[in-house]
Amino acid sequence: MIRFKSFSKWSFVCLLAGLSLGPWVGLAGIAALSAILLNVGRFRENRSAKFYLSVSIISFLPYALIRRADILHLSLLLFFRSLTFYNTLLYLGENMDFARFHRYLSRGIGRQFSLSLSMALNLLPWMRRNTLESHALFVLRQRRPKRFLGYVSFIKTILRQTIHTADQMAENLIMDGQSRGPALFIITGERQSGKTTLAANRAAEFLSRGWAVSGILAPGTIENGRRMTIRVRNIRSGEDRLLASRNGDVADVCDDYGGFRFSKTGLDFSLQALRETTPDDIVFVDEIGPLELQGKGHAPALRALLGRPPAALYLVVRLSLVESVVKYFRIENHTLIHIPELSKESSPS
Amino acid sequence: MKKKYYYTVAYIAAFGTLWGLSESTLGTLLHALGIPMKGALLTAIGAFIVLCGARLLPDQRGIPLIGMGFIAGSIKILSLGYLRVNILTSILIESLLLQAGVSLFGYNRIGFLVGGMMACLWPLIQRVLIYGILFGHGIQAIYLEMLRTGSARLGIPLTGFATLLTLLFIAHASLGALVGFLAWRLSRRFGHARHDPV
Repeated sequence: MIRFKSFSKWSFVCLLAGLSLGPWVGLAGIAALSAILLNVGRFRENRSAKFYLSVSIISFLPYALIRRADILHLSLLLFFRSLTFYNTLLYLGENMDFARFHRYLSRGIGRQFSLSLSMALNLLPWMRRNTLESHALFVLRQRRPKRFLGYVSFIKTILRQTIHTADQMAENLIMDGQSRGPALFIITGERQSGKTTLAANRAAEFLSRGWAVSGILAPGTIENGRRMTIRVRNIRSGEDRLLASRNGDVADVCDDYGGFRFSKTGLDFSLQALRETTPDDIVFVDEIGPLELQGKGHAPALRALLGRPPAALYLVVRLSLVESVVKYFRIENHTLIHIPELSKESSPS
Repeated sequence: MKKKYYYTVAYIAAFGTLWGLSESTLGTLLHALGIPMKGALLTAIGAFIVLCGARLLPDQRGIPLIGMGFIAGSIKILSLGYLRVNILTSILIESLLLQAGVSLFGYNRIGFLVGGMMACLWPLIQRVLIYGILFGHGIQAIYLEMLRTGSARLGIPLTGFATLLTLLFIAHASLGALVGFLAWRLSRRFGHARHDPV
């Protein structure tokens, strides 16, 4: 998460935090000096002069007013802690892997709150400055406020600024999402409309162009218009196993759904194939169905893929289940590839 | 749907930040000045900000107000100079009470009034509740003994303290109701403020 090259730097930051939080002024001073050294050479970039000046005034003003030793002790502690936290946060901010931090935070508190918190921390300096400037302007213009309504208009100004800020942030997020483009495709259609065939053709085309393709396809046998077996093929290795069957020829049954008995060996094989994908791959997952909507089957592997999306992800999903799958797995940015019922591609050899 | 999601996230972030800012700037000032009922005043300001934001949220499902409280608490806890975890807890509980009010009674006048009242009563009861949890059953005896001692020394009957507590309760509840009412009235005017230039 933090791009430290060695464990010693991480220990150093923890040590600084520990020293500054103690009651000893000397140690807090050492921590502050060490923290400043972390950012030495970036004084002008970080515009630290104003900060140091304001912290000095805030910290030592109480001592300037009340000349007592205990107040001096508190003032010094406040001053050193402020310097330590400011410089440490600056250093961490420059070295942090925010994408990873956001992922861990999303797992802890949910995606919506983690996104809000990230935005809030970015917004904080700007809003603080704006609010204080607005208040300063208000005070300068209304030296002797004649009416209480003057304060009400100040509150309205702050609220209006906040709404405007929120709107701008939202628009930026929307534009960012649109410009990034979809990397997740859902191949959908009715049963036996050619979804797996289309996925196989796409995978073959990508492979022929030299792209890295991985994941699983699920061809099977059909008798009298009814699917009797599902096999799973590892795209990268070309191997396949029996995943499920209606015929009762599955020795190690791990699950039972819709008349199909799922093989543990087959399922482990497909999960392993999905685990072997890399972030640069174009990954195919055939198929996401009712079993996955119960959290079983390929669901754990799909969640892992959605958490660390590959270059492109193709999911094969029956038409009637698309909405449920999108909702269950919280899929946001995606493109539907809908196969009409009568249109079927020729199957690959 | 995506647009609604992003707007909701942005509004939670913006109003949570405003609440956090008010806590860290005004909070420090009010604590330094030592004015009475500063806890209730800070809570009232925070409740006002959150309820205004709640009215303007495009998607009011879930627990967005708790999200605002979490952001405000995080900003407060990062305020320079000190690190107090109980402040984060207080802010979270206030946001929980606000959320409970609007979730139970809806995003309407009643919900805002009840939410505001519950949140503003929290500063009054938090010490009693928290010390009761921390110290257990015996704390009641200590409180009663303190009241008896105070009553004997000040010459005020015990019923006087009960009256005082009742008055404080009414004052806090009224402040909360007023905040809820004002937030409802003021936020209604900002329904059209989106995309208006500042």
